[in-house]
Amino acid sequence: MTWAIFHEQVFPIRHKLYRFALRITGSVHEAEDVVQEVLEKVWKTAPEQSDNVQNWEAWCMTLTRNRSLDKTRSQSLRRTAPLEGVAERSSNTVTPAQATEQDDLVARVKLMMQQLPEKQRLVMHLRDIEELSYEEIAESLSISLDQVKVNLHRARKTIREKMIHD
Amino acid sequence: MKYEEIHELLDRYWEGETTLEEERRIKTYFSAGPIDERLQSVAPMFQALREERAVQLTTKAKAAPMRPQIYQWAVAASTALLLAAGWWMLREGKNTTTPLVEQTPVEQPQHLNHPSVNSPQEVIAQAEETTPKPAAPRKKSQPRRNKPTQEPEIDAETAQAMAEIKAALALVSSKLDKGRNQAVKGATYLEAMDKVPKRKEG
Repeated sequence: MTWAIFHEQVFPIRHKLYRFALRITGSVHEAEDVVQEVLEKVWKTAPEQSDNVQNWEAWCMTLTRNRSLDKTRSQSLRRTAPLEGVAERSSNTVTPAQATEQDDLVARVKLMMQQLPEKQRLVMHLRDIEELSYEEIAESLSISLDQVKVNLHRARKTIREKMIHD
Repeated sequence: MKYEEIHELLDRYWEGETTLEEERRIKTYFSAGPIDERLQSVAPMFQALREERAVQLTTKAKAAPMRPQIYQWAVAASTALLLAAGWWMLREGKNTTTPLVEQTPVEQPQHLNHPSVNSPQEVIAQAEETTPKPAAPRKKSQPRRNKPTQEPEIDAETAQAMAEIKAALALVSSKLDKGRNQAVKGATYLEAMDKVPKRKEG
Protein backbone atom coordinates (compact mmCIF):
# COMPACT_ATOMS: atom_id res chain seq x y z
CA MET A 1 0.00 0.00 0.00
CA THR A 2 1.44 3.30 -1.02
CA TRP A 3 0.90 6.69 0.52
CA ALA A 4 -1.46 7.61 -2.32
CA ILE A 5 -3.58 4.47 -1.97
CA PHE A 6 -3.77 4.97 1.77
CA HIS A 7 -5.10 8.45 1.19
CA GLU A 8 -7.63 7.26 -1.36
CA GLN A 9 -9.02 4.21 0.41
CA VAL A 10 -8.38 4.44 4.12
CA PHE A 11 -7.96 8.08 5.07
CA PRO A 12 -11.35 9.19 3.62
CA ILE A 13 -13.24 6.81 5.94
CA ARG A 14 -11.67 8.27 9.08
CA HIS A 15 -14.94 10.02 10.00
CA LYS A 16 -16.79 6.73 9.68
CA LEU A 17 -14.20 5.00 11.86
CA TYR A 18 -14.46 7.84 14.35
CA ARG A 19 -18.27 7.60 14.58
CA PHE A 20 -18.00 3.84 15.05
CA ALA A 21 -15.38 4.24 17.77
CA LEU A 22 -17.52 6.92 19.38
CA ARG A 23 -20.51 4.57 19.31
CA ILE A 24 -18.53 1.94 21.20
CA THR A 25 -16.50 4.03 23.62
CA GLY A 26 -18.95 6.89 24.11
CA SER A 27 -15.94 9.15 24.58
CA VAL A 28 -14.74 11.73 22.07
CA HIS A 29 -11.14 11.50 23.27
CA GLU A 30 -11.11 7.73 23.32
CA ALA A 31 -12.62 7.63 19.83
CA GLU A 32 -9.99 10.06 18.53
CA ASP A 33 -7.25 7.89 20.02
CA VAL A 34 -8.75 4.78 18.48
CA VAL A 35 -8.84 6.32 15.00
CA GLN A 36 -5.26 7.51 15.37
CA GLU A 37 -4.10 4.06 16.43
CA VAL A 38 -6.07 2.27 13.73
CA LEU A 39 -4.73 4.51 10.96
CA GLU A 40 -1.19 3.95 12.21
CA LYS A 41 -1.69 0.22 12.41
CA VAL A 42 -3.16 0.05 8.92
CA TRP A 43 -0.25 2.09 7.57
CA LYS A 44 2.32 -0.14 9.24
CA THR A 45 0.79 -3.55 8.55
CA ALA A 46 -0.85 -2.85 5.19
CA PRO A 47 2.06 -4.13 3.05
CA GLU A 48 1.90 -7.58 4.63
CA GLN A 49 -1.92 -7.60 4.76
CA SER A 50 -2.52 -6.36 1.23
CA ASP A 51 -2.93 -9.88 -0.17
CA ASN A 52 -5.37 -10.98 2.53
CA VAL A 53 -7.57 -7.93 2.82
CA GLN A 54 -10.38 -7.78 0.26
CA ASN A 55 -12.32 -4.93 1.77
CA TRP A 56 -10.18 -2.25 3.42
CA GLU A 57 -13.19 -0.51 4.92
CA ALA A 58 -14.47 -3.66 6.62
CA TRP A 59 -10.96 -4.44 7.83
CA CYS A 60 -10.57 -0.93 9.26
CA MET A 61 -13.98 -1.25 10.91
CA THR A 62 -12.92 -4.52 12.51
CA LEU A 63 -9.71 -2.95 13.80
CA THR A 64 -11.70 0.00 15.11
CA ARG A 65 -14.18 -2.22 16.87
CA ASN A 66 -11.48 -4.35 18.50
CA ARG A 67 -9.44 -1.37 19.60
CA SER A 68 -12.52 0.44 20.91
CA LEU A 69 -13.70 -2.59 22.86
CA ASP A 70 -10.21 -3.02 24.32
CA LYS A 71 -10.23 0.55 25.52
CA THR A 72 -13.78 0.38 26.84
CA ARG A 73 -13.24 -2.83 28.73
CA SER A 74 -9.84 -1.99 30.11
CA GLN A 75 -10.87 1.38 31.41
CA SER A 76 -14.48 0.51 32.27
CA LEU A 77 -15.65 3.77 30.80
CA ARG A 78 -19.17 4.80 31.53
CA ARG A 79 -20.99 5.18 28.27
CA THR A 80 -22.63 8.44 27.46
CA ALA A 81 -24.72 9.37 24.47
CA PRO A 82 -22.75 11.42 21.96
CA LEU A 83 -24.80 14.58 21.67
CA GLU A 84 -22.22 16.83 20.05
CA GLY A 85 -22.24 17.80 16.41
CA VAL A 86 -25.95 18.55 16.22
CA ALA A 87 -26.65 19.31 12.60
CA GLU A 88 -29.14 21.87 11.45
CA ARG A 89 -32.57 20.52 10.78
CA SER A 90 -34.36 20.89 7.54
CA SER A 91 -37.90 20.86 8.90
CA ASN A 92 -39.09 24.31 8.02
CA THR A 93 -42.71 24.09 9.07
CA VAL A 94 -42.34 23.66 12.83
CA THR A 95 -42.71 26.40 15.45
CA PRO A 96 -39.87 27.11 17.92
CA ALA A 97 -41.79 25.28 20.66
CA GLN A 98 -42.25 22.29 18.44
CA ALA A 99 -38.60 22.48 17.45
CA THR A 100 -37.48 22.31 21.07
CA GLU A 101 -39.78 19.37 21.66
CA GLN A 102 -38.45 17.77 18.48
CA ASP A 103 -34.85 18.27 19.66
CA ASP A 104 -35.73 16.55 22.93
CA LEU A 105 -37.20 13.63 21.05
CA VAL A 106 -34.14 13.39 18.81
CA ALA A 107 -31.86 13.41 21.83
CA ARG A 108 -33.95 10.68 23.40
CA VAL A 109 -33.74 8.53 20.29
CA LYS A 110 -29.95 8.91 20.35
CA LEU A 111 -29.92 7.87 23.98
CA MET A 112 -32.11 4.87 23.23
CA MET A 113 -29.71 3.77 20.51
CA GLN A 114 -26.75 4.17 22.85
CA GLN A 115 -28.47 2.07 25.51
CA LEU A 116 -29.07 -0.90 23.23
CA PRO A 117 -27.09 -4.10 23.91
CA GLU A 118 -23.65 -3.94 22.32
CA LYS A 119 -24.25 -6.12 19.30
CA GLN A 120 -27.60 -4.54 18.45
CA ARG A 121 -26.12 -1.08 18.91
CA LEU A 122 -23.21 -1.76 16.56
CA VAL A 123 -25.30 -3.50 13.90
CA MET A 124 -27.83 -0.68 13.90
CA HIS A 125 -25.07 1.92 13.75
CA LEU A 126 -23.37 0.30 10.76
CA ARG A 127 -26.66 -0.16 8.91
CA ASP A 128 -28.71 2.92 9.72
CA ILE A 129 -25.93 5.50 10.07
CA GLU A 130 -23.10 4.18 7.91
CA GLU A 131 -25.36 2.37 5.42
CA LEU A 132 -23.28 -0.79 5.15
CA SER A 133 -24.64 -3.93 3.50
CA TYR A 134 -25.45 -6.95 5.65
CA GLU A 135 -22.35 -8.67 4.29
CA GLU A 136 -20.09 -5.75 5.20
CA ILE A 137 -21.58 -5.59 8.70
CA ALA A 138 -21.05 -9.32 9.16
CA GLU A 139 -17.43 -8.96 8.07
CA SER A 140 -16.80 -5.89 10.21
CA LEU A 141 -18.23 -7.45 13.35
CA SER A 142 -17.10 -11.00 12.62
CA ILE A 143 -20.62 -12.39 12.98
CA SER A 144 -22.95 -14.33 10.68
CA LEU A 145 -25.48 -12.78 8.29
CA ASP A 146 -28.32 -14.22 10.37
CA GLN A 147 -26.95 -12.57 13.47
CA VAL A 148 -26.78 -9.26 11.63
CA LYS A 149 -30.44 -9.50 10.61
CA VAL A 150 -31.66 -10.67 14.00
CA ASN A 151 -29.80 -7.96 15.87
CA LEU A 152 -30.92 -5.26 13.48
CA HIS A 153 -34.53 -6.34 13.81
CA ARG A 154 -34.34 -6.40 17.60
CA ALA A 155 -32.63 -3.01 17.74
CA ARG A 156 -35.20 -1.28 15.55
CA LYS A 157 -38.06 -2.99 17.35
CA THR A 158 -36.75 -1.81 20.72
CA ILE A 159 -36.40 1.78 19.52
CA ARG A 160 -39.88 1.77 18.00
CA GLU A 161 -41.53 0.39 21.14
CA LYS A 162 -39.76 2.90 23.33
CA MET A 163 -40.81 5.72 21.03
CA ILE A 164 -44.42 4.59 21.21
CA HIS A 165 -44.47 4.16 24.97
CA ASP A 166 -42.56 7.34 25.87
CA MET B 1 -43.94 10.10 -1.90
CA LYS B 2 -47.46 9.09 -0.90
CA TYR B 3 -48.34 8.27 2.69
CA GLU B 4 -49.32 4.71 1.86
CA GLU B 5 -46.04 4.08 0.13
CA ILE B 6 -43.87 5.42 2.92
CA HIS B 7 -46.04 3.69 5.52
CA GLU B 8 -45.53 0.37 3.80
CA LEU B 9 -41.77 0.98 3.60
CA LEU B 10 -41.67 1.88 7.29
CA ASP B 11 -43.49 -1.30 8.28
CA ARG B 12 -40.85 -3.28 6.47
CA TYR B 13 -38.09 -1.11 7.91
CA TRP B 14 -39.08 -1.91 11.50
CA GLU B 15 -39.10 -5.59 10.62
CA GLY B 16 -35.60 -5.32 9.17
CA GLU B 17 -36.77 -6.27 5.69
CA THR B 18 -35.88 -3.18 3.69
CA THR B 19 -32.99 -2.84 1.27
CA LEU B 20 -30.39 -0.09 1.59
CA GLU B 21 -32.03 1.73 -1.30
CA GLU B 22 -35.44 1.61 0.35
CA GLU B 23 -33.94 2.83 3.61
CA ARG B 24 -32.37 5.77 1.74
CA ARG B 25 -35.78 6.63 0.31
CA ILE B 26 -37.27 6.69 3.81
CA LYS B 27 -34.45 8.93 5.04
CA THR B 28 -34.86 11.24 2.07
CA TYR B 29 -38.59 11.52 2.76
CA PHE B 30 -37.99 12.58 6.37
CA SER B 31 -35.18 14.99 5.54
CA ALA B 32 -36.79 16.68 2.54
CA GLY B 33 -40.29 17.18 3.94
CA PRO B 34 -43.10 17.97 4.15
CA ILE B 35 -43.81 15.08 6.50
CA ASP B 36 -47.32 13.66 6.72
CA GLU B 37 -48.97 14.43 10.06
CA ARG B 38 -49.47 10.71 10.75
CA LEU B 39 -45.73 10.07 10.46
CA GLN B 40 -44.51 12.93 12.67
CA SER B 41 -44.03 10.57 15.61
CA VAL B 42 -41.23 8.65 13.90
CA ALA B 43 -39.54 11.71 12.39
CA PRO B 44 -37.15 12.13 15.39
CA MET B 45 -35.79 8.67 14.68
CA PHE B 46 -34.57 9.61 11.22
CA GLN B 47 -33.43 13.03 12.30
CA ALA B 48 -31.30 11.34 14.96
CA LEU B 49 -29.76 9.06 12.34
CA ARG B 50 -29.06 12.05 10.09
CA GLU B 51 -27.41 13.99 12.89
CA GLU B 52 -25.30 11.05 13.98
CA ARG B 53 -24.08 10.63 10.42
CA ALA B 54 -22.98 14.26 10.36
CA VAL B 55 -20.58 13.77 13.27
CA GLN B 56 -17.00 14.16 12.06
CA LEU B 57 -13.52 13.75 13.37
CA THR B 58 -12.30 17.28 13.85
CA THR B 59 -8.83 16.89 15.31
CA LYS B 60 -6.44 17.94 12.57
CA ALA B 61 -3.58 16.01 14.16
CA LYS B 62 -5.30 12.84 13.02
CA ALA B 63 -4.57 13.83 9.46
CA ALA B 64 -0.91 12.89 9.52
CA PRO B 65 -0.22 9.94 11.78
CA MET B 66 2.56 8.59 9.61
CA ARG B 67 4.54 11.74 8.96
CA PRO B 68 7.33 10.86 11.42
CA GLN B 69 7.77 7.56 9.65
CA ILE B 70 8.36 9.34 6.34
CA TYR B 71 11.14 11.30 7.99
CA GLN B 72 12.57 8.13 9.47
CA TRP B 73 12.80 6.76 5.95
CA ALA B 74 14.43 9.96 4.77
CA VAL B 75 17.04 9.69 7.50
CA ALA B 76 17.65 6.02 6.69
CA ALA B 77 17.98 6.81 2.99
CA SER B 78 20.43 9.64 3.67
CA THR B 79 22.54 7.38 5.88
CA ALA B 80 22.56 4.69 3.24
CA LEU B 81 23.65 7.24 0.64
CA LEU B 82 26.48 8.42 2.88
CA LEU B 83 27.67 4.88 3.50
CA ALA B 84 27.48 4.06 -0.20
CA ALA B 85 29.41 7.19 -1.07
CA GLY B 86 32.06 6.38 1.54
CA TRP B 87 32.44 2.85 0.26
CA TRP B 88 32.71 4.12 -3.31
CA MET B 89 35.35 6.62 -2.27
CA LEU B 90 37.50 3.95 -0.64
CA ARG B 91 37.04 1.57 -3.55
CA GLU B 92 37.91 4.19 -6.13
CA GLY B 93 40.91 5.24 -4.10
CA LYS B 94 42.30 1.72 -4.13
CA ASN B 95 41.59 1.09 -7.78
CA THR B 96 43.17 4.22 -9.17
CA THR B 97 46.06 5.14 -6.93
CA THR B 98 47.65 1.75 -6.52
CA PRO B 99 48.24 1.04 -10.21
CA LEU B 100 49.35 4.62 -10.62
CA VAL B 101 52.18 4.07 -8.19
CA GLU B 102 53.19 0.83 -9.85
CA GLN B 103 53.28 2.46 -13.26
CA THR B 104 55.25 5.46 -12.16
CA PRO B 105 58.78 5.26 -13.49
CA VAL B 106 61.39 5.49 -10.77
CA GLU B 107 63.07 8.72 -11.70
CA GLN B 108 64.45 9.44 -8.29
CA PRO B 109 65.29 6.12 -6.67
CA GLN B 110 66.89 7.77 -3.65
CA HIS B 111 63.43 8.83 -2.52
CA LEU B 112 61.56 5.62 -3.23
CA ASN B 113 62.72 3.32 -0.48
CA HIS B 114 59.49 1.33 -0.38
CA PRO B 115 59.14 -1.09 -3.27
CA SER B 116 55.39 -1.48 -2.95
CA VAL B 117 52.57 0.68 -1.73
CA ASN B 118 49.27 -0.69 -0.52
CA SER B 119 46.96 2.16 0.25
CA PRO B 120 46.24 5.74 -0.81
CA GLN B 121 47.28 6.93 2.62
CA GLU B 122 50.73 5.38 2.13
CA VAL B 123 50.96 6.94 -1.29
CA ILE B 124 50.35 10.35 0.19
CA ALA B 125 52.70 9.72 3.12
CA GLN B 126 55.40 8.53 0.77
CA ALA B 127 54.84 11.37 -1.63
CA GLU B 128 55.28 13.84 1.17
CA GLU B 129 58.72 12.43 1.91
CA THR B 130 59.92 12.76 -1.65
CA THR B 131 61.23 15.87 -3.23
CA PRO B 132 58.24 16.87 -5.23
CA LYS B 133 58.20 17.98 -8.79
CA PRO B 134 56.38 21.17 -9.66
CA ALA B 135 53.07 19.78 -10.82
CA ALA B 136 50.23 20.67 -8.47
CA PRO B 137 48.40 23.95 -8.88
CA ARG B 138 47.42 24.09 -5.17
CA LYS B 139 50.93 23.86 -3.83
CA LYS B 140 51.27 27.50 -2.82
CA SER B 141 48.05 27.59 -0.88
CA GLN B 142 49.08 24.72 1.38
CA PRO B 143 52.38 25.39 3.08
CA ARG B 144 53.89 22.54 5.08
CA ARG B 145 53.98 23.30 8.76
CA ASN B 146 56.12 20.35 9.75
CA LYS B 147 58.73 20.99 7.06
CA PRO B 148 59.08 24.74 6.91
CA THR B 149 62.52 24.62 5.37
CA GLN B 150 61.48 22.53 2.38
CA GLU B 151 59.88 23.84 -0.73
CA PRO B 152 56.09 23.36 -0.24
CA GLU B 153 55.52 21.43 -3.41
CA ILE B 154 53.50 18.32 -4.27
CA ASP B 155 54.45 15.81 -6.88
CA ALA B 156 52.16 14.43 -9.60
CA GLU B 157 51.13 11.37 -7.60
CA THR B 158 50.02 13.37 -4.63
CA ALA B 159 48.21 15.83 -6.84
CA GLN B 160 46.43 12.98 -8.54
CA ALA B 161 45.51 11.40 -5.21
CA MET B 162 44.16 14.70 -3.99
CA ALA B 163 42.21 15.12 -7.18
CA GLU B 164 40.70 11.68 -6.65
CA ILE B 165 39.71 12.55 -3.09
CA LYS B 166 38.23 15.82 -4.26
CA ALA B 167 36.21 14.00 -6.90
CA ALA B 168 34.97 11.52 -4.30
CA LEU B 169 33.98 14.31 -1.92
CA ALA B 170 32.22 16.07 -4.77
CA LEU B 171 30.24 12.91 -5.39
CA VAL B 172 29.28 12.68 -1.71
CA SER B 173 28.25 16.31 -1.86
CA SER B 174 26.14 15.75 -4.94
CA LYS B 175 24.47 12.74 -3.33
CA LEU B 176 23.68 14.77 -0.24
CA ASP B 177 22.23 17.52 -2.42
CA LYS B 178 20.10 14.97 -4.22
CA GLY B 179 18.89 13.50 -0.92
CA ARG B 180 18.10 16.94 0.40
CA ASN B 181 16.15 17.82 -2.72
CA GLN B 182 14.13 14.61 -2.38
CA ALA B 183 13.42 15.41 1.26
CA VAL B 184 12.26 18.91 0.31
CA LYS B 185 9.98 17.43 -2.34
CA GLY B 186 8.58 14.98 0.21
CA ALA B 187 7.99 17.72 2.75
CA THR B 188 6.22 19.86 0.14
CA TYR B 189 4.00 16.92 -0.76
CA LEU B 190 3.17 16.28 2.89
CA GLU B 191 2.21 19.92 3.37
CA ALA B 192 -0.01 19.76 0.30
CA MET B 193 -1.68 16.56 1.50
CA ASP B 194 -2.28 18.22 4.87
CA LYS B 195 -4.22 20.99 3.20
CA VAL B 196 -6.52 18.75 1.15
CA PRO B 197 -8.51 17.16 4.03
CA LYS B 198 -8.64 20.53 5.82
CA ARG B 199 -10.37 22.09 2.85
CA LYS B 200 -12.84 19.23 2.68
CA GLU B 201 -13.67 19.54 6.37
CA GLY B 202 -14.02 23.29 6.18
